[in-house]
Amino acid sequence: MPNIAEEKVCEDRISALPEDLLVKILLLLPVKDAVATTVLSKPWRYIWTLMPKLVCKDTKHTNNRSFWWFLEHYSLQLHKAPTLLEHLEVKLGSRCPDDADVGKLILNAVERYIRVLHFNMKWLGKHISLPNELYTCKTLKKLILSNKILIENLPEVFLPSLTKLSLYDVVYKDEDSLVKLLSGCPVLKALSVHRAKNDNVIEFSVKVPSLHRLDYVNENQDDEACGSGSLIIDSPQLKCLNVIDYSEDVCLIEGKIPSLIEAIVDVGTCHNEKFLTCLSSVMFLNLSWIDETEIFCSGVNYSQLIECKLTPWAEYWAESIMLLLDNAPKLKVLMINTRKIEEFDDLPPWSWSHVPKCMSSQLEILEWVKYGGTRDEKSLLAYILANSKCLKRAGICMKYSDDCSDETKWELKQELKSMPRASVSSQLLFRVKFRWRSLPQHPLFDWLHSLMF
Amino acid sequence: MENEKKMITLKSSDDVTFEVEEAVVLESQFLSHLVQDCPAPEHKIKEVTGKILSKVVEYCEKHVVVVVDGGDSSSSSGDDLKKWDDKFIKEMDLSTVYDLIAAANYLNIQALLDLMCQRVADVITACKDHKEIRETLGIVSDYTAEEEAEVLKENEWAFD
Repeated sequence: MPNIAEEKVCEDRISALPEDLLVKILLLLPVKDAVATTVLSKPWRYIWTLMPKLVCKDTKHTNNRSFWWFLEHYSLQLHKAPTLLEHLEVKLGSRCPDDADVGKLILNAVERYIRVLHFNMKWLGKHISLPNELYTCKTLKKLILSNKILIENLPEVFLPSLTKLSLYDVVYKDEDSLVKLLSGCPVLKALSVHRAKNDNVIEFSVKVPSLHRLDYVNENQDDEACGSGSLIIDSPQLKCLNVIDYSEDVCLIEGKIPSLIEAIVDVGTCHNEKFLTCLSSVMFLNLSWIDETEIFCSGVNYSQLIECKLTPWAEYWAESIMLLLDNAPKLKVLMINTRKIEEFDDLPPWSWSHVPKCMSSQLEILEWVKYGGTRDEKSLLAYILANSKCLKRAGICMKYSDDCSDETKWELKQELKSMPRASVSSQLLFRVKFRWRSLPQHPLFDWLHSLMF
Repeated sequence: MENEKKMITLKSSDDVTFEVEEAVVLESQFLSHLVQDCPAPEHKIKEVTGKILSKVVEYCEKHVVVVVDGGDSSSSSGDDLKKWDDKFIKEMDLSTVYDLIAAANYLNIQALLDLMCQRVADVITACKDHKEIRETLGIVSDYTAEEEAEVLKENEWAFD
């Protein structure tokens, strides 16, 4: 029998496959290779436009205007391919012509029932506003807008399917534009914000009843409006709150967030005691200490807290930690980072009259990063080791001064080893290995994870 | 004593028969429904030839065994399976790959379909330009020189 199999290889059988299978194959190729199949033959010309997912980014290596030409051509093709476009990710770089009609592309995506849209305008042109149709798109589930985008002149916003929204370095015409956008998202679960400089918003108000997760970053320290603004959170269903704000703006929580599970807070100032009081239900608390915080901590009862990570930065930091421990009866894991702590030996040494409850019955893991051996560090560590009856492991990572000799290093370690420990079975290690939130998983974690960006 | 496993006979379009365990059949969504709805001992699959069905059976038998063994989900069994998959597709000519794509699509065996589509994608990625893709896949261009130049220009970005 002749070898038919070999001859068949040269026969064009691939073009005979059903369109959906060809699309499946194209989705496995790098985007450019998938688009390049357009030139193979006429039947291949529009197959790639049927792909439900397209990720294209203008990189430094992209030639001249060709990337935009391609996108413009693509948005024309979209009309010829009335299929679903589930996922579109576009990054326009500095070489994109500044007269490019970006709106048309977005409009076409909306017409093709877009679900995930990631639009990153890194071009040299002006900030652009997006077509009104985007803000009334019924199918959109996830929207990420980055850089030179202006949120303005919004229609009656209605995004009934939108569950995740990210606004990275975009600007707003005014505060109303932001309020209007958020109020049109009835099922929004996760909001992620990175504030741009001078984004025309003084009071950043997050009033979203359905919200479960908020990530908010404002790093504008030298902004003109620095210190005069505020972040106002009014989202009673929040489970997870991550606020990093170095702008000296005020952070306020309106109402209560009774089911908050995790909070990561690093703020330059915190004029409202209520902010910390609102965190009282957390199980996981990551706090970068700030001047006034310790005063407030004494009043907050963290009855559910099991893991706590503290980066103190204040004169009375050791007492503040003790205050917090005193109010956290269920604490199992304590992580301390003293990278910002210096010797404050002109202050009276701290003292404590009674052993906090968590030390006598709960605390199992102590992790200490950048332990520098100052007076207060030494006495706090000694106190924790001497009183934590259930301690299983203390991991300590040392911070040595530049001129520290090997001999001194050895002595410092010996000093720690000689500290009496209430838990005889506990290990003392000179490395840290505990990861944030790695205690046996709480049933809500997988669900919380699904809200990540 | 070990429980006797339920056996099922599959018959190809050209009447080649394969006797397989029920668990093997369950790898295919199409066949699981067929077996459930119609509990006959033999099932004829008119759309698939004996040559291709033998490949399908070989793949499903390999994958079903590993799933059963991997109750403790040791990572080596996953790696072994990956090696086996690589060898399985490497030895295959494109013609068989297309037949298997059609068969896996028809029988609804997602993992096999993914594997075969990946093979085609790898072949395309390995080509240096569209001319080589045409040669390798046997595609004949029906563009005129002018049309081809126009398509290339419109999509210049993709050909950078």
